[in-house]
This record gives sequence, structure tokens and C-alpha cells, in this order.
Amino acid sequence: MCIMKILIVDDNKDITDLISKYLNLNDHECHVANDGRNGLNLIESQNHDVVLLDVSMPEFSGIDIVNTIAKKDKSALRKIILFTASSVASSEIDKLLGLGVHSCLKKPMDPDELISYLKTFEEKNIALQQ
Amino acid sequence: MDNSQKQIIVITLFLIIGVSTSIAYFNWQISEDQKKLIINHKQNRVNILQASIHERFSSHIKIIEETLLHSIHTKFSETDKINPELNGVPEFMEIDQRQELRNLLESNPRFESIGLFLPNGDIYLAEPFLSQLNLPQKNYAFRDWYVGAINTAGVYVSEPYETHYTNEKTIALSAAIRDGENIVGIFHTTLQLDFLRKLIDVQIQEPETMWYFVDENGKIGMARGDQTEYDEAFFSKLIHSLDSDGGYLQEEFFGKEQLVVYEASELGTKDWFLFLIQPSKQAFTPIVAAQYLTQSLLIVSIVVISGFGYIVFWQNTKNITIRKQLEKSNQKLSLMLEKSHEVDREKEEFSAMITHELKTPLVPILGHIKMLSKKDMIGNLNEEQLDSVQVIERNAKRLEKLINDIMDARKLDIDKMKFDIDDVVLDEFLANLKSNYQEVLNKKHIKFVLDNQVKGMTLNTDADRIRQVFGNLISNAIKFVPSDGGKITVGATKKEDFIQFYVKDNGIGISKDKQSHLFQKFYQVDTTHTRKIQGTGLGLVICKGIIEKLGGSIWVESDGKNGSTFFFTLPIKRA
Repeated sequence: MCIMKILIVDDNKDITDLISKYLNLNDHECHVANDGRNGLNLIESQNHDVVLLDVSMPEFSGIDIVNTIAKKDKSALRKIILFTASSVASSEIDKLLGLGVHSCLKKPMDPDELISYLKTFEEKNIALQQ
Repeated sequence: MDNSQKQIIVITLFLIIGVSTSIAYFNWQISEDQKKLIINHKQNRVNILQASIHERFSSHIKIIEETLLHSIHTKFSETDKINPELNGVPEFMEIDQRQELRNLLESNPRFESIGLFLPNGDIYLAEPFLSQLNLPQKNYAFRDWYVGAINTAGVYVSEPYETHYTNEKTIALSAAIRDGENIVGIFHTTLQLDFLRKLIDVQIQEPETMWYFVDENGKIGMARGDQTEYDEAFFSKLIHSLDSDGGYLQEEFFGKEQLVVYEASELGTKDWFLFLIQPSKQAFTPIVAAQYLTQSLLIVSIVVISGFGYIVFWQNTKNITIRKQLEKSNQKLSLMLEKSHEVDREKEEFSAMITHELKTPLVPILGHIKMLSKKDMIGNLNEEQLDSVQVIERNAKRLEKLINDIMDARKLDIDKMKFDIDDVVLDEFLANLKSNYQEVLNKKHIKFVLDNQVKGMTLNTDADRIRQVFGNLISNAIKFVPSDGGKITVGATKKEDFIQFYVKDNGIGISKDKQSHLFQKFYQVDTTHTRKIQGTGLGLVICKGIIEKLGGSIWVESDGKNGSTFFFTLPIKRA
């Protein structure tokens, strides 16, 4: 399995700790941001294979991050996987998917399912590049 | 609209304004004048009555004064100071003195009684009744008159009282007989008020009218009819605020607004008041009648003139009015709609926030459970610890299911549930269903039977939502089947334009009366506190919502003893 460089952006430290630990144990390289602005900086300054982005965050949310990136480079949105616990405000999610965000996962996700989801994601990307 | 029509409008408007103003002014003028007249009339009548009472009192006082000057004084002169302790009426009164009093009574027929208190304390009465003989020394009524007379230069007038032998309201008048500086005796006489009462009653015969004759302390002397409504404390307070020259006021008495006309006069040593009290409405009846008449005239005039104007312009204004009304209604409706949307939006935002807050903690909980349960991931737990972790996992998943159920029910309520419609190959779908549940059912020793009678068919629907419906129905069946020999059958068959699915169990069954409630929110077949089956009571509500949104229907069949079968249909071709 390929080692992926993954950025996790979520204001809940328990969640970033868990996912990064789980992904590390599965041999992936993880970076973490616990607020939106820091997350945007890392997305823009470093090249990650995939960004796991929480939609609801205080001050600067996942929506703000997506909108900011969309203005500069829409293709960068392809590596963003949103995750959200709120299921009703799906119209907002639809807008983000419409902008070019890869997909949206619903919390709470099974860590094993996340691993296999990322595997599929990477395989498709490799196939596309070839 | 042409010019002649405009002219008619202007004329009509002027007519209405002119007529209304003049009638209103006329009406107001009459009211004020008549009101004044009526009050004056009543005041005059009260004045006359008060004057006649005054005259009656004064004549008595005058007689007493004359008597004191001419006769009594010479007959009873004594030089001793008067004894403040009265002896009462002696059994054998001195004949001379008694005769003197009798003569006095006969020569002055207006005296109702005559008495004399001597300096030694003896009381002499012109006509003593047997009951008056040996009156106790400290007879308080006598003492009041006695003390009153000593302390008054003129004639002392007592408070009204009822005599114990006639039960009539009476006033006592008393005066001191003086010899130079010394008081040598007290002369007294009484005046029955009944005579005055009859005089006033004859004069005032209007309905609902009361009158009161009251002394300056609020003590009632005379009144019309029943006096039980008389409140001495209230009148005493009222009297202190009145003008001693007489007048009128409008005040609430006996629960009604009343016109109160009063007259004051000084009688003897006191001020006395005569009150005439009548409900204002009653007192001003002539005005009210006049007002009704003028108001009726005003209304009739306006109606006639307006009606005329309205008929003339009805045709022209009809369309405009209707359009304006419609516009107004539309505006109102838009506002209401906007408000309702706003409320919906707020509700939606609130639901999203609540879901987020409830679900977020489940991510680390379930994630760490996973890490703990996995072999060689972050170290290995012993069997007992693993059991505990499984309990935590089971309950965390229950909580997740509960949150999802509540949110699904809410989404169905506000019609926000999303459906992802695609072709579903039924063979594959049903086989997957079986394999998904096989393991769980095997563990519980429940037999799972698949009855697929729709081989090779495809259904255009939302596979995830149908899986959710089956999930709910199978979970319910698992709860109710016996622990030994449990059996669940899942099947599908074609019924005309629909595919009919079913989940059948060999559980305890559902009685007929409970079947109709099954698809209601939060309904539990067993609602006792000791119920063994867990659940929110939302599962079947969600199933019903989903199936109906997908164009089908859902129901249950059970004889209440031998298990139950839940059926649901879905259209083969979606509308």
C-alpha cells in the first residue's frame, strides 16, 4: 500500500489525534491543524495527497477554506475530502461538491472504512495520472 | 371618472361633514344645557326640603329659648351648683314642678316631650311613663344631653337616636337654665324625625332615588326606605370633603355612578346634610333620550348620504377596491410565508447544530474502541477488558442510531430527506442483505430464510434507503423472535406494477388494537417500565416515511399470537 501524506483539519483535537494515530499505525504520514486558518496555511504551503477537512469549525470554517481555495485554484479542491456530523444543512455541502471538492464523509466514520476509502481514493488518482 | 362625477363626490363629502358637524355640535350643546337644568332643578328641591327641616328645628330651638327666658327660669331657680351625677326620675315627683311642665307642654303642642334636670340630679318629665320612673342614674342618653347643654351657650342638639318606647328616630334638644353664672337646671325636649321623613318622601318620588339626612359625624337621621346600604364611615369621610354651601358631585355608590345633590345647614350646634342620590343614567334620562334621538338622526343622515354616494360610485370603485384588497392580502401572505421560511431556516440550522454537537464526540469514542479492540494495534486487551469495550461500542452505536433516527424523522417531517435514485438489481440487493445479517443472526441462533420471487428484476429506487427500511424491520424482528428456534424470512414478490417485500418473524405477534398505532411516532408496543425491548419508537415511522416518499406503502399483518409480517411495496416504474 502507498504511503500517503494526509492533512487533517478539525477543531476537535480528540478527533485529529485519533485519526492521525490510526492513519500513522497504517503507515500514512499525517499532519494536523486544529483551526481553519492554520489549515488553509498548511494546504497552501505544503503538498498533501489528501486533505480531510471538517466542515463546521469556529471563526474560519471548512466552507471558508473551500471558498478561499476555489478563488485561486479549483483543481486543488480535488484532494479535499470533507467530513461532517451535521446532516441537515446538505445544501451547503452540495454547493461545495459543486465547486469541485472530492467527496463528503459523514461522522462518525469507521476508521477501517476510512482507511479503505483513502486506499480507493489514491488508487483512482494513480489511475488518472497514468 | 368625468367632471360631473367628481363634483358629486365633493358635494357628498361636504354634505356629510357639514351635517355631521352641526348635528354633533347641536347634540353637545343640548346635553350640557339640559344637564345643568336638571342639576339645578334637583338642587332647588333639596334646598326647599332643607329649608323646611331647618325651619322645623329652628322653631323648636326658638320655643326652648323663649321657655327658658320666661317661665322655667323663675320657677326653678336655685343657687346650688348643679350635680353632675344624675339621680334619675324620682318615683314621687314634686307635684308643682310636674304640673308646670304639663302646662308648658299643653301651651306648646309642637313639643313632643319636656324634661327638666334639677341641680340635685333629679330628672322631671312632663309625662313620665311607668318605665321611665326610677331611670338609672347613669342613663347615658340623658347624660349626653345634660353635658351637651352645660357645655353649650345655646341649645344643644343630640345625635339622632331611636327611642326605646316608640322605636322612632328622634333628636333631643337641651339647654341650660342659668341664674347669673350658675346653672340651676337643664331643660330638654325631643323632636321626632318621622314628620320630616314623610315630608321629604312626598317631595321626592322618582324611581331609584335615595335620600339621606345625616349629621356632621355621618350619623344617619332619616333616609328613604331600606337603610341597610347606608355606610356611616363612608359618608363621614365624604362629608369632610363637601362644601358647606351645598352643591353636587358624581360619584360611585352602590356599584353605580350616581348624581349626588346635597345641601348643608347649621341646626343648633351642628351642621346637617341632606343628600339626594340617584343613578346618573336615571337622573339624566331626558338628556340620554335626546342624545339617542340626535345620534339616530346623525347615523340615518350619514347612512342615506353615504349610500347615495356609494351607489353612484360603486361601479367605478368596485374593481379598484377588490384589487387593493387582493394586493393587501398578498402582501400579508408573503410576509407570513417569509416568516414561516425564516422559522424553518432557524429550525434547520438548530437541527444541524444539535446533530453536529451530538455526533462529533462519537468519532473519537468509536475510533478508540476500534483501536482497543484490534489485535496488535495499540497493545492487546484481555478477554474481560475486551468484553467491556464491546459494551461501550454497542452503546455508542445505539446512540449513533438514535441520533440518525431522530434526524431522519425530522427530515421526513420537513420534507428534506434526500433520495439517490438508481437502478437496483434485486437479486444482488437481496443476496447482500442476507450476507450482511447472516453473521449476526447465526450468533443469535436465528434462522434466516430468503424468499426471492423476483429473480432477474430491476427496481428504480434508492438502495440505501431500502436497506435502511429492511434494517429497521429485521432489527425489530430480531428483538421479538424467541431465543430458541427464532426464524426470520425476508422475501420479495411481484404484485402488478409493484414489488412487494416482506419481513416475517415467528415472534410473539402484535395484537390488532396495537397494529394501528405502530406507525405513529414514539409508539412502543410494550410501554411498561419493565419492558424488555429497547428502541425509540421511531424506526417504523421512518420506514413509513421513506416508503411513502418512494411511492409505496407499508403495513403489518399479525393474528397477535403467531408472529408478524411487515409488508411494503415499491413501484416498479417510478412516476
